[in-house]
Amino acid sequence: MRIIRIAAAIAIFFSSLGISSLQAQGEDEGIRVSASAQPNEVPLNRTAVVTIRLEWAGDLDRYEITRFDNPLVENLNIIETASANQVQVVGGLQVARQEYQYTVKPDGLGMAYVDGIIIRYADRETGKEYRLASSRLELKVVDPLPEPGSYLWLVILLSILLSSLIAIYLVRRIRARRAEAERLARSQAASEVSLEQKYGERLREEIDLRQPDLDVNAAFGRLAGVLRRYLAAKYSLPLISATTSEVRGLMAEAGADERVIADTLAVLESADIAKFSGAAQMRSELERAYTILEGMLGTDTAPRGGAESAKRDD
Amino acid sequence: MNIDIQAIQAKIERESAFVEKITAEVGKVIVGQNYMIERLLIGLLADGHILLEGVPGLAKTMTVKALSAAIKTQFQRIQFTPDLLPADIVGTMIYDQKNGSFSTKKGPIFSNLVLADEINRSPAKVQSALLEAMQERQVTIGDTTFPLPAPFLVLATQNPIEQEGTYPLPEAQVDRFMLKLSVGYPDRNEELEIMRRMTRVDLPQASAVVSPQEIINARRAVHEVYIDPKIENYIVDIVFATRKPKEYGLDELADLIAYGASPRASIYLSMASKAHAFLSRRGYVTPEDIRSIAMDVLRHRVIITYEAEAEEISAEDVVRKIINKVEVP
Repeated sequence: MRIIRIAAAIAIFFSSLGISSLQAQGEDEGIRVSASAQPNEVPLNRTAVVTIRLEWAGDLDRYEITRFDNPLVENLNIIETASANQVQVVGGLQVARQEYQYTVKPDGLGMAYVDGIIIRYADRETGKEYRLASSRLELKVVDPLPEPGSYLWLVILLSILLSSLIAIYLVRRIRARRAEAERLARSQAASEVSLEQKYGERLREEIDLRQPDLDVNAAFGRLAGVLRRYLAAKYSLPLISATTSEVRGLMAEAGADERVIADTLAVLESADIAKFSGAAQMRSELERAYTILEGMLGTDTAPRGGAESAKRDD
Repeated sequence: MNIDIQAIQAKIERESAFVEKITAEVGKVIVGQNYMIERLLIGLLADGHILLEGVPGLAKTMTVKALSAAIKTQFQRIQFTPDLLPADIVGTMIYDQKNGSFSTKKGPIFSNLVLADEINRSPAKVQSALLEAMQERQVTIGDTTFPLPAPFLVLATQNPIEQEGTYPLPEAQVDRFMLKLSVGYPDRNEELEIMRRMTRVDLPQASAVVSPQEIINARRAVHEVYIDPKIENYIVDIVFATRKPKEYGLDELADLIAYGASPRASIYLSMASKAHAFLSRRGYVTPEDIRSIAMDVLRHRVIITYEAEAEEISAEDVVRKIINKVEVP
């Protein structure tokens, strides 16, 4: 029994030491008061809890609290209050406890204060009255924390923005592709049309049949060159490095019209004799080959360029 | 310069009359192989020796024998073996005990047509003796030099698949052959005809229908076939493309060719194309003739690199690319 009493005394002693740093001592050693705030640093959009604790040895009704005012606060608003009584046996000794909790919310950034509270109480056994004061508490009000869901609007906005950008990009790309395809189609159509014109022009540049002293053999070489290049471009065939008989095979494989193949061979065979036999060729032969080639170029342009065809026919 | 092409044409018509006879006679024995027969005639007309390469059984030897039988001329076949000696080909000096002097014993090379069968079976000294005679067209036995008869044509065969125990011809000696033919298999119908013809009791024989003089006259006519400077330039372009492919837009071949064709290629290409034109009864050479004969003239003259071999690119692939790239006149 003696040991229990010593233990209780030691417990109360250490308990009183722990609180002593926070509590304001009253006139009577029987009640101890302590004040604390959790947390000490509170964001502007959050709350802190200020706790005033009264504690004494004995029964709960040993003392009568005659005055307990709400604390005075600066830069804070009390938004909630609560109180609780508690009786506890520590080391065989009964301890009574009363807690008053104030939930406060800061008004603005900076420092906030909870002034000391004056507590008056009376000892029911002796009838004496006492006065206590709690310590003044300081709270630091810091920048508000982001509220959950506060960025949702931003995410939605960014999503909309991103979707819009993607949509704009896709639309522009599709339009660019269409424009490019149209441009290519126009270009292709233009080049198809101009192929015959191009080689017709080249033929006229290479051979001028009006020249009285025209070298017929050399002219045959140039004529065959124009024809080979034209057919190579038209059918995408390696006709530049092909012999006359190979030209026939290549054109047939490429699906060229029989009449075109026949005309081609007529020109190239005449040209081969002129180019390689060493014998002087007749001018009439050159004119015949020229007319065949001109007809090939004119025939090909006819479906697309009626005016030019008509001019040639004239 | 105006060439009397009509006169040349008439001469060629006249001198080439034997071609049909000889072709018909060889055709009695040989089925198909038109490519080989035509090339043999080109060699005969252009005075160029021919190396025939092909697997056994493709009638290489039989074709040469049939050709020689169709010409009233001397024919000798020499089977090259590892123990053959140069004297077995060119001849030797024999001591005559009665007279106490040496007499000359001419070898089988003293013939108009010589078939050197499986030439790569004999050592280099024997090959050299033959190839020297081919080049010089004369043989020295003892102190005396003997000219070889005209026409003189060597047709050598070799088998590409059996390399063990053979003596491959050096590039310098292969270069002395005007054409190297790659003899292929007959097609299905030809194979049927060969089978039927060769299983008969009476095997067909070719008769002599052409005299050596006709061949010599034809050779003269071949020399007269007109070759235009444009065609000559085309030949030189093709040969130069084997040496400097980059200048002809063939950059991809630069690392594949170790050595390009020699000037002999240009000479033989010109001669063979004339002979080809002659066989076509034409008095002038066209690019068709060049394209037709170029592979046979060039395939053994373009030496490919190890890189090309590693990539399984043959000399024929290289020549084919060149022919297909160089612009025809």
